[in-house]
Amino acid sequence: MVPVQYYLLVSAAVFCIGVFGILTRRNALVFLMSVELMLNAANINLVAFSRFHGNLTGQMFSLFTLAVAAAEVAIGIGIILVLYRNFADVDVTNATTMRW
Amino acid sequence: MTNNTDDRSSLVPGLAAVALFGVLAVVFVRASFGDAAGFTGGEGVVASIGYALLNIQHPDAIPSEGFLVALLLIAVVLDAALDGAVLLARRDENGEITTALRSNAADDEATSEPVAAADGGVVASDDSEEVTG
Amino acid sequence: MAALSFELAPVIAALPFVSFLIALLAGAFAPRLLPKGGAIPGIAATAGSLLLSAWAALAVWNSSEGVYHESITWVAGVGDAAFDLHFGILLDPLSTMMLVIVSLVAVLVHVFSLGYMNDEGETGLPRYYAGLGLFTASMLSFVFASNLLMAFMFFELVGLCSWLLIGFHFREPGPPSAAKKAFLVTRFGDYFFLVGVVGVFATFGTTAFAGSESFPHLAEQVLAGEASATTFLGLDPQAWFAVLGLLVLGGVVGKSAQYPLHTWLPDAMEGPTPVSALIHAATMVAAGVYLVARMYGFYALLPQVLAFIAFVGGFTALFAASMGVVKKELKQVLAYSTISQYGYMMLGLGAGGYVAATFHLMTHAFFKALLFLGAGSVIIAMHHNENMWDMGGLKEKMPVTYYAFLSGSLALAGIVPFSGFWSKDEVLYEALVHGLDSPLLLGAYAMGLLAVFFTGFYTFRMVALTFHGDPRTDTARDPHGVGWNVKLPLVVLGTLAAVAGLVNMVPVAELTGAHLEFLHDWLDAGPEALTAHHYGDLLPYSSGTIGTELTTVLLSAGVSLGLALAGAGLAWKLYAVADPDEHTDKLGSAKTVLFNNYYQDEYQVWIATGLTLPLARAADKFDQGVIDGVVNGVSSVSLLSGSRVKRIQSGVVTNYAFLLTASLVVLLVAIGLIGGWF
Repeated sequence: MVPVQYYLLVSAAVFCIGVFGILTRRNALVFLMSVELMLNAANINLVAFSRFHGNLTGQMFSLFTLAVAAAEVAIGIGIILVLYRNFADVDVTNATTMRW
Repeated sequence: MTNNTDDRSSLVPGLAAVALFGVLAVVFVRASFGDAAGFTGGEGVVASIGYALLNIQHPDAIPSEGFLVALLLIAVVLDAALDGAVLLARRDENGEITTALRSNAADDEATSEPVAAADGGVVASDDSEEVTG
Repeated sequence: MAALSFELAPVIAALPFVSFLIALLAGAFAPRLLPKGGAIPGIAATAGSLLLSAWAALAVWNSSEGVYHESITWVAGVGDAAFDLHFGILLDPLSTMMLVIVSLVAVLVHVFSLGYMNDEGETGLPRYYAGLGLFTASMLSFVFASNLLMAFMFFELVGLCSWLLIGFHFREPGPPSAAKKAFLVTRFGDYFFLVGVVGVFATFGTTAFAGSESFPHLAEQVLAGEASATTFLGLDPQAWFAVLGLLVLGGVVGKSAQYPLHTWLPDAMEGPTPVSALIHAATMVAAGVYLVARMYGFYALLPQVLAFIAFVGGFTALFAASMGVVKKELKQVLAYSTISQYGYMMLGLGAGGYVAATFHLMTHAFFKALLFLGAGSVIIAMHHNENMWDMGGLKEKMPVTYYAFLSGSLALAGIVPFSGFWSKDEVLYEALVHGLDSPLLLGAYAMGLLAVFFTGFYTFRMVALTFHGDPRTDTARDPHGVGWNVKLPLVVLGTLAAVAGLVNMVPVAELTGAHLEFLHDWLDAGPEALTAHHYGDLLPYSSGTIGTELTTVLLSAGVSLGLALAGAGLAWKLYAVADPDEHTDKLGSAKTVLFNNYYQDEYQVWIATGLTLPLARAADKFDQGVIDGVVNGVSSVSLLSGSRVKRIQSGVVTNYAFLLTASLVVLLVAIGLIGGWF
C-alpha cells in the first residue's frame, strides 16, 4: 500500500500551488481556481486518513467539502460579478477601498 | 473579461508558498505514521458511502457515522448558494432589473408599462413604441 | 407638651431656611410682592425660631433626662467595617441655650437691618435677607447637630453664608476681597477639621456627640482601658486622640479667629454692620468655640490639647487686644475686641472652665451684638463714616444709642456688675486656680489678665472718642437720626448686656453663700455624660488656691476688675476731653507695628507668594512635565505606531494572503522547533 506520507506530500504540494496562485495572480477567477486547489488538497488529506484509519467518515467529509466548494464557487462568482460591475475589472488588487 | 492582459504580479510573495511547502514536506517526510488500516468491509466503498449518507445500518458496510442531517443541511446550503449567486448576478440597467433567469420576452412585457426610472423620472415608453413599431 | 416642642425642633432651623427661600425666589421673580425686601419674612421666621428655641429649652429643663436625641440614617453603611451617616438633633441644655442666643440675636439683627439697610436705600435687599436667613438656618442646624459630620456640613454652610454676606457690596473693591479672604482663611482651618472628622470616623466608627455610642464616651472608655479603638500612625490612644483633637481644633481656630488664623476677621468688617453683629456675636465666630464646648467630653480627656487651647486663647486675647488699642475705625476696634474675647473663651475652655467659657460665649453674644448694632447706629448717624476721629460729642445727639453702647462697653471692659465682668472673671478664675500647678496655664492666665487692661483701654477710648468731647466734623455736629427699628434692638441688648451676668455670679455666691450659679445648674441639667459636672471629673487639672477659696475668688475678681478700671480710667483721662490728641504717636515704632497688625497679613501673604507659590509652580512643572509628559508620550507613541501599523491594512487581498501564509510558516516552524518535529 502507498504510505500516508506520499498522500500528504501530494496534498501539501497541491495546497501550496493554490497558495502560490493566490499570492502571485491578480485575476479574481484565478483566485477562485486556486481556492479550489486548496480545498481539494484538504480532500486528499481527508481521503488518505480515511483509508489510514479504515473509517469512511473522512470520505464522507470530502464529499461534503465538494458540495461546500460548489456553494463557495457560486457565491464567489457572484462576488466577482459585483467586483467587475463596481471596478470594471476583475483585478483583485484594484479593489482597495476597504483599507485604512 | 479583463482588459489587464498581464495577470501576473510579482512572484516574490510566491516564495512564501514555496517556503510553506518546504516546511510541510520536511515535517511529513520526517514523521512516521505506521501502516494504513485500509478498508476491510465486505461492501464496496461507494455502497458504504451510500449507506452512511442515509443512515442505513448495514452489517457489511465499512464503519462510518450517519450523515443524513448533514446531507439535508448541505442541500439547503447549496440552494441558498444558488439563490445568492442569482441575487449577486442580477444588475440594474436603465431602471430594469436584468437577471440570468429572465427571458427577453418577459422583459419586453414588463417595459411596455410605464416604469419609474431609478433616477426618479418616467421612462419615455411612447417614443420607444414608435421606434420599434 | 414637651414631646411636641421636641418634635418641632427641626422647624427651628427650617423657618429661617424658608425665609431664605422666600427672599430668594420672591426676590428673583416677584420683588414687588416681597415686603421690605424680605425683612418681614426673615423677622417672622427668626422670631418663630426664637419662640420654639425657648420652648425647647423649657422642655429640656422640665424633662427628666434633660435631653432630646433623635437621628435618622442618611447613608447606611455597606459591608463589615462600614458605618452609618446620620442626621440628628441633639437638644440638651448647652444646645438649647445656644439656640436661644442665636435666634435672639438673629431676630434683633433682622429688625436692625430694617433701619440699616432698608431705610438707607440699599439695593439688593432680597439677596441680603436671603443670606441672613440661610446664615441663621445653618447656624441653628449646626448648634443642634447630633454628630460631628453634620456639624461639619453646617459649619461649612456658615462659612459660605459669611462669604456671601461679607461680600454683599460686591461692586466695591474691598468687600469681595475681604469675603474671599474670610472664606479662604477659614477654609484652611476647616481642611484640618475635615481630616479630623474622617479620623474620628476611622477611629470610633461614629461621630455622635451624645449617648453610649458617642465618640467622647468611647474615647473615655478606651483611655480607661475598657474598650479599644483603631489608632493610626503607630500612636497609642492618648496621643492619637490628641492628634484628632488638634485636627478638629484647626477648624475651630479658623472659625473663631484665633491666632494665627485671625486675619480674616478684621477684614470682614467690610460687610454690612448688622452682618458683622451676626457673625461676631452669634453665628460664624461663635461656631468654633461652640464646637469645642459641644465635644468637651472629648477634649477634657486630652491634657496636652487643653493646654494648647488655653495658651492659644490667652495669647490671642492679649495679641488682639493690643492691636485694638490703636485702631481709628469704630468697627476695627470691635473686630479686634471680638478676636480677643474669643481668645478668652478658648482660654476658659482650655483651662477647664466649661461653664465659664459657655457663660462668656453667652454674655459676649449679647454685648458684642449690642456693640456692633450700636456701631451700626453711629455709622448711620455719621453717614457711613467709621473713623472715630471724625466723631465726638454724639452723646447728646443720640442718647439711646449712647447708653446702650455704654452698657455694652462696660460689659466688654469687664466692669462690675455688667455681664462681661462675671463671665470674664470666671474664665480668669478658672485659669488661675487650674494654673497654679501648671506654668503653661499660668502663662496663659497672665496674658489673659494683661489683656483685661488693654480691653478696658481700647473700649473706653472708643466710647470717649465716639460719644464724648466736642464734635470734630460737621457730620458729627448734625448726625442723621435713627428710627425705632434701630433703637429697639439696642434697648433689648443693652438690658441683656447689663443683666445677663446675673445668671452666674460666682464671686457673690462665694462671698454670701447664696446659691446664685444658675447657669452652672442649667448646664448640669442634661444627661450625665454632657454635664459640666461630668466634664469636671474628666479634666486632668487639679485646683490650687491662694489662701482659702474665698480669697482666691476675690483676689482674681479684684485684680481683673482693677486692671479693667485702670485701663478704662487711663483711656478716659486721655480721650474723654473736649479735643483729644492722637496719643498713639507716643508709642513710637510700636505704633507702626500695631497699626500694621504685627505684620500678620504681610507674613501670611509672604507665605502664600514666597513659599506656596513657588512650591505650587514646581508642582505644576512636575505635573505638566512629568505626569502629563508620560501621558502625552504614551498617546503619541500609540498614535505614531498606529499610523505606521495601519499601513498593512492595504486593502489588497494578495497582501493579506501573503501575511497569512508567512505567519503560518513562521508559526509552523516555531511549533515544530518546540515540538521537536525536525
